[in-house]
Parts: sequence; C-alpha cells; structure tokens
Amino acid sequence: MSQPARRRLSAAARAERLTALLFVSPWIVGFLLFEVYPLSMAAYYSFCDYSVLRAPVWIGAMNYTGLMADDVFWKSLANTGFYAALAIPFGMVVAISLALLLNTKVRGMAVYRTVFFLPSLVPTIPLAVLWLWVFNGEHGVLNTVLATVGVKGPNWLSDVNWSKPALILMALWGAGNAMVIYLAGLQDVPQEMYEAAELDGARWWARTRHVTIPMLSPVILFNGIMGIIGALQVFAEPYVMFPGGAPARSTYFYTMYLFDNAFLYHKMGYACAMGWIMFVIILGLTLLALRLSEKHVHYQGT
Amino acid sequence: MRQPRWRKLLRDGLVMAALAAFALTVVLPLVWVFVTSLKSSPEVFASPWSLPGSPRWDNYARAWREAGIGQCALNSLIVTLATLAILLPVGSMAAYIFARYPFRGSRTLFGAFLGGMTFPLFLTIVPLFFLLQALGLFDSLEGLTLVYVAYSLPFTVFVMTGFFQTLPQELVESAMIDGCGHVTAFWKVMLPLARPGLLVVGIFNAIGLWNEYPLALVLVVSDEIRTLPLGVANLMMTEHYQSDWGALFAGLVIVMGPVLAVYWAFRDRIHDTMVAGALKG
Repeated sequence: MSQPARRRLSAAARAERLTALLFVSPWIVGFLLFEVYPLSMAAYYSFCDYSVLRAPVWIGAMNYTGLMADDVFWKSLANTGFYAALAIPFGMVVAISLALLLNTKVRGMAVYRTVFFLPSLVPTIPLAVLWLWVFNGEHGVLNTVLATVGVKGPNWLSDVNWSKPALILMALWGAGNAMVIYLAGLQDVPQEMYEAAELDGARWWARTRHVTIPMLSPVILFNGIMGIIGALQVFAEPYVMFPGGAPARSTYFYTMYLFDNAFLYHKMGYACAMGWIMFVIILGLTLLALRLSEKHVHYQGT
Repeated sequence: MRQPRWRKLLRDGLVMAALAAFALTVVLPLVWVFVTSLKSSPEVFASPWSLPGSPRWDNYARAWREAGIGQCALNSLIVTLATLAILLPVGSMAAYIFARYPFRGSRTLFGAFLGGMTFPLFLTIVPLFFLLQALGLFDSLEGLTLVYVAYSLPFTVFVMTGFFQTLPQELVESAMIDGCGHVTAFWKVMLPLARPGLLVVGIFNAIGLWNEYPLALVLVVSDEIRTLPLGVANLMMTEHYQSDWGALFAGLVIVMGPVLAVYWAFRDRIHDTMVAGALKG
C-alpha cells in the first residue's frame, strides 16, 4: 500500500476512536461520579468517626473492631443469615417445581407464566402493606384460611418465632421471577436427551434427577448467586412492615441496622464499615458458590 | 407409552391443580386490594371478604388529594420519564460502542462496570447522600433522577450491547458510504433499528424506577417531592391513626395499577427479551 492511503486509513481510525470516546464519555462520567467515587469514599469513611455535623476524623480500624463487639451487629447478621439460609433454597425449590410443572405441556402455559411473574413486579411498598393484612394474627387472610382447615395460625407479626418465616413466605410468593428463567432453561434442554433416557427406561424422577437438573445447573447457579445478593440485602419489606425490627429485633436485618446507623444515629463511618463487611460477605459467598459449582455445573457446548 | 392411561390423567390433574393453586395465591390478594379500595372503613373490618355494599370511588379522591398521593404520582412520573430520557440515549451510545467498536481497554471497562452491579447499594448509599449535598442536588427530583440514571445504566448497557450485536452492521456502512458520519449513522440508522430493544429496556427500567424505595428514602426529605413508594409508606403510618383504610387501599391501587397494566400490555415482549438476556448472562 502506498503512503497516503495508509495515512488516510489511520485518520479514519482516529476519527472512529474519537467517536467511540465521545459516545462512552457520558457513561464514564456517571460511572466515576456515582460508582467509583462513592465506593472509594465509603472505604475512607469506614476508617473515620463521621457524624453528619463534624468533618470525618481518622480513627483507624476502630469502626471494624467496634462492630465485632456490637451485639446488635451480630443479631442483625444472624437474622439476615437465617433469612437467606431458608429463603434461597426454598425459593429455588418452589421456582424449579413451578417451572417443571409448567414445562409438562399443560394448557394455558403462557397465562400461568404471565401470572407467576406478576409478584416480582408488584411495587414493594404496597406489597408490604398488603402482607400486613395477610399476616394479621386476628383477622388476617392467612389465619382465616388456616382456620377453615382447623389450624390455628400463629401471630405472624408479633411472635418472634414467626416473624422471619412470614418474610420468607413473602419471598416464596415472588418466586415467579426465577421461575421464568428456569422455564426458559428447561425449554433449552434438547428433546433427544429425554427420549434417550426414556429408551433406557428412566421414569420421571430419574429423568429429572439425571437429565433435567444437570442441564439446568448453569441457570441454578445464576439464580443462586442472584438470590444471595438479593436476600442479604433484604430491606424495604421488613423496614416498612416491622418498624425497628419488631418483635424484639427478630426482623432487624443487616441493611436496617446499617441504615439506622447512618441516618438515625448519624454514625456514618460505622455504617460504611458495615457496608464493606457486607460486600466482603457477598463476594465470599459468590466465590464459594462458583467454586462449589465447578464440579457440578454442566455447561452445554455453545 | 408404557404408562397406563389413568396414571397420565391423574398426573395431568395434579399438575393442573398445583398450578391453579399457586396462580390463585398470586391473583387473589391483588383482587382483594382492589375490592377493598372500594369499601368504607367500617366495611373493611366488618366484612373483609365480601364485596362492598356500594363502591366508594371517593376513596380514590381522598387518597389522591387529601393524602397527597396525586402529588406523589406526579413526582414519580416526572422522575421516571426524566430518567428514561437521559438513560436510554446515554446507555445506547455506550452499548453501541461496546457492541460495534471495541477499543483498547473497553472490555476491562465493561467488566468493571458489570462488576459494579454486584456492589451492594447499601455500600454507596452514605457517600451518595454526602455527594448530592455537595453538588446542591440533595432533596431534589433532579438529584434523584441523576442517581437513578447512574444506577440503571449497567442493566441498560448490558442488554442494549447484546441487542446491538444482533443488528446488521452493513446498514451503518452503507449509510456512511452515503456520506453520514458515525454520529448521524448512529442516530438515524441504528437507534431506530434498536427500538424494540429500547422499548423493553425502557419498560423494565420504568417499572423499577416507579417502585424504587431505598434511594428515594435517603435522598428525598421534603413532602412536596415525595415519590409514590415514599407517599404510600407515609400514608400507611398516618392511616394507623386516622383509620381511613379505604383511602389507603385506593393509594395501593394507584401505585400498582400502572405497573400491572404496562406489564399486561407488553407481557410477551417482556418475556422474550428477559429470557434471552438471562440465558446469555
């Protein structure tokens, strides 16, 4: 190629790169200002004593050591752990079961799919108000239904043993979100695999156990990680339904204590330290899930 | 088939029953909210399961005016539309570059950005509170809008990048041979082609923004600029004392109604795009 031609090409390439930068720059500005900067400041504040009125004062790791000795911190962490440990696996079982049921070529599948997905769109706050009526111990929907089959329902909202299960039930009601994704995964399983399994004499459960679940494993992993991230950050429902984590702080979750530290007690540094600990926990659990899944997750060649 | 016929019938029946049962638990509470929103307060307690004696549409008028839900709805509408108006062009422009003109470091940038999605919101909420105060945007709809744009970008860029990758590049090339620059080619050729993707991304974002609670709770304090979720939470607290339950349920319907209507109208497209996105990711 002759000299001028090459130069013209590089001019075009330069123009292209300039356009590229122009196109991504608003996004980069937003990213730096609203993601990178807050994250770095959260790291800095977490080593400071920072009430809203005075400028932050560096105090080293005292927020972190303080948290380790804070009973409420451990209580909120234990509540959150309990919630996540039940809501995630039960949610998975419900979502996969619904997806399996829907995948049996029943009539009206599209309608069911649409209906099951509804709860994940219903705004959180109205939903919380609605659930207060469902769980009301005396004239709530749930206990009325239970009474018709002769079961005396507990005081979901005021009994420390039943407040967290109430929130877990609410989470299960919203399992349709994950179900839609499982259903799509199920429909991707090649039909020949079922036919082959059937020829080998595999019954429904054997086919589910040895064909469906392994083929679905990447989706299970994806939903599992999303579940971890979501469950550990549960906030709006308990915050609105159980002010202050009532009864007896049984629904006082990690994010609620973080929020109160920041905006009720004005311990900004303390709250930021909680934020970072939460991030480390989420990161750790995600990496653990990825590691554990290495052996069990089966990726289809794509 | 080796299965006897009665077993298949039994199995299908059980499947139908289980599906119908779950569908009822989803639909009945929502119907109940609507029915209750038309009752007088004494009726709500006296006969929670029956239909209202005569529908009390004035519950809606009270919720809308006296409880301030009308103002909240307007605020939510402004914030949602303003966010989309900034978010969709900015997100599409970035997505277009990632999809079509990757430059050195763009993959790292994209990865870092997606990584940002996994950072808990509660990690950045305190610095955001101070940042908006420093920018003079605290307790304003403008500030809330900017934060919403920033926090909706990862999802938007992610989905739109996938969408632009499916569009034929030849159209841009031929437009550029006709003398269009990159910018014109993007606005005049690619963006109109991306309309189906924009629609679904827009709907998803709009629903999320309409429902958003924690950020608004921190970044908005004045009564006049409350968004709907804040307004309904507040209504719930005050109704505890005033016991105007009919108005409270009317308020719930006002928040939920638009979301459910939009979802119902676009349900098939939403599912197709969501499923495609989730499986790729």
